[in-house]
Amino acid sequence: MNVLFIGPYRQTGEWGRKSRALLNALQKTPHNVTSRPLYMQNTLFLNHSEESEFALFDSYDAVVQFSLPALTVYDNQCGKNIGVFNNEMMNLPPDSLSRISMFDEIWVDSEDIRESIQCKLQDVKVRVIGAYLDPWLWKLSQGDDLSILRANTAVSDRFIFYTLGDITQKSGLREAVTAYYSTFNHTDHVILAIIVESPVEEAAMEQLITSCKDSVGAVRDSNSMPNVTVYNPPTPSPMKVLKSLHVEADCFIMPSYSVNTSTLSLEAACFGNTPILNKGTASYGALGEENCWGIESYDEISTLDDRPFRDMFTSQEICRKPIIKSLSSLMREAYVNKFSRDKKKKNNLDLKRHLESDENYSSLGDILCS
Amino acid sequence: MFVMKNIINSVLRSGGDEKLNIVTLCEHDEKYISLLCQTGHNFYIPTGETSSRWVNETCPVPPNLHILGEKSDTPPSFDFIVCHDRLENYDQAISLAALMHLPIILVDHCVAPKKAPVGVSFSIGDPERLSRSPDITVSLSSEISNGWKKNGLDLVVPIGIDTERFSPAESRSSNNIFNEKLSPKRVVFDNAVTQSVAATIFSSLSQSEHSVLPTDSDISQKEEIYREGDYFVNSWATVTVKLLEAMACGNVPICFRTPDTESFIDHGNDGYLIESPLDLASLVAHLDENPSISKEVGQRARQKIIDNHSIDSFLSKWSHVLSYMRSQFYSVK
Repeated sequence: MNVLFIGPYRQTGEWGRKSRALLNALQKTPHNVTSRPLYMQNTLFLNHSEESEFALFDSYDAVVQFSLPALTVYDNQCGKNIGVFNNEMMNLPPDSLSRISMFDEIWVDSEDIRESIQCKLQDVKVRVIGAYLDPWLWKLSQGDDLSILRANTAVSDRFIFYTLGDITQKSGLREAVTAYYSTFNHTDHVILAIIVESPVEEAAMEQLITSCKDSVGAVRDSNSMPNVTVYNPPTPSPMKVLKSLHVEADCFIMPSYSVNTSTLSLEAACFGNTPILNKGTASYGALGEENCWGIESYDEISTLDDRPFRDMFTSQEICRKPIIKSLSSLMREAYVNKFSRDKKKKNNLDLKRHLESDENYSSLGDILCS
Repeated sequence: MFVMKNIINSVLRSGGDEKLNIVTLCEHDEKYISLLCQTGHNFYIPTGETSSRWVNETCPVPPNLHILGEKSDTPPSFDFIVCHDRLENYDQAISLAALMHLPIILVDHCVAPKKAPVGVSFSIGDPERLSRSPDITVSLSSEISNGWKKNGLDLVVPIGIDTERFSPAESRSSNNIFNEKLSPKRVVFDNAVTQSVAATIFSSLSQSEHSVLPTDSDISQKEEIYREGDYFVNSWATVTVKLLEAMACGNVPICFRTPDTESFIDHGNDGYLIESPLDLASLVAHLDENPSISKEVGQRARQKIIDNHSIDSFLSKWSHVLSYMRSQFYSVK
């Protein structure tokens, strides 16, 4: 088959990572792939071209569009129109239903997401695809100077929790920092490293961290609070910081409200930094309890203030919110329970082998043909 | 407004040789669209929820024009959308363009009015008020182009007329349409306007002394009407294709004075401008009494079309516009 893939694979950020991961997975199938980048927002872009951009065919049997529904288009020149909307919430925004209904197939990350969507779509097949890794992870880890973290004397010899965050509600950063402050004090050899991918005003980040500190209450004074370090772009670059943390850190936290698969969680697991993430999400489903720690969480309607588009993350959709108490106890367990930590780390190596295996990619090829 | 390019089309139509599939909205634009069809590309008119429609009496449907919705054929993938009116249906163009990720070509047929029409609350000359700017603007004259504030690329493409096809008759023929026994002078007018305007014009002329014939009629033969007409009354406020066709046939053009017609007609030289239908009768009477003057004016009107409205130039410029748009949006990069 000739497959045309359109996605934001030149972008940084999670959309870029997942798009590159899916494109890489398609390229590993026996099918011919042409790719074209999509530029969704003003963000950092990677200056690279995919080999598949230079492959061109007279006709295409399938077009895969990895994008938001409003940014896709149905085309009857291609045999099958497949939409991958990277659904971060359960259910579908009502405004996008008419556009999504035009597609022949939609690919999602988990059975839960599939069920929540299929009931609204009569003639569209909703299918679950596997989890795939961003190939850039492996490219950058060879020969790069990844000692960004250990060069900081405040960090060396400490147990490093790390998380990707921004000041939006959906990222779950507030919950992560609050849980961290309520769990640890300055005598614990821990540090929380926050990587920010899209630049955030320093004052806004400071305010978030301070408010989390205040919300913990006067159980201890500020001098006894554990350390938090924030890596805000452009220097050093988020990609380098991320790779450095994957190599040097100990535990990845992802209490994000999104229900889809997080490539960063997969990456962290592959580096042996067993992630802590919300139960009930596709990430948790892909990893399993043996490969991660599951935060008790609950479904809630999406009432986010910060929407990239007017019809996204509305109250018609369901997000997954962490229970801070559960996150707190899991952070403590990850820190103190070396036995459990090592056991999961060993399981993570098996997971890595599976994610890199031909078997993982061949299933995608079969899905395309069927 | 976040505007998406049609990436699928940029892959599938990167060959550069295929005919383009162009969606065009149509409200009284049949003649102009039939000229565009001569570029050889395929044109499609969406009906249904848009206000577009094609009036067969105005112009027969060219072979490469397709009315969407009339047949059950699957429509092709489209390349561009052409809108002919930034006031009336530009919002529809934006909606269609957003749905199909198409670039927009806006054709300005008239100068910017000095005050907003009834029901339009904002400054219509301000392009910032358009929620999405067109990707290219084509104006029918430099006066029109200068009148509108614009962002982005714009150029002037005057309407083109085939002056061999639309030419004066060599000799007057006896023609049943004009009921020769009753009247020596033939007045043609564009009846594709509101009934009240048509009725006003019709009633302004003496029926005993003139044969008055509308351009759009089941029994009309288009070129013959112009060829054997003496005067053409332009019932629109703008310069239309029918006006130019009539001028090419040597008809004396008579237009209501508006910002558009004022900049086009040289009053008394290659046509006449009147303030209201009340002036029509006296002007026609003056021309009836001075056939040499009306003949000279008609000849100058035709020469104006020959000099400034070449059909070859029109088609060449439009082909360049479409090629440029194809290279910008659908070429391999």
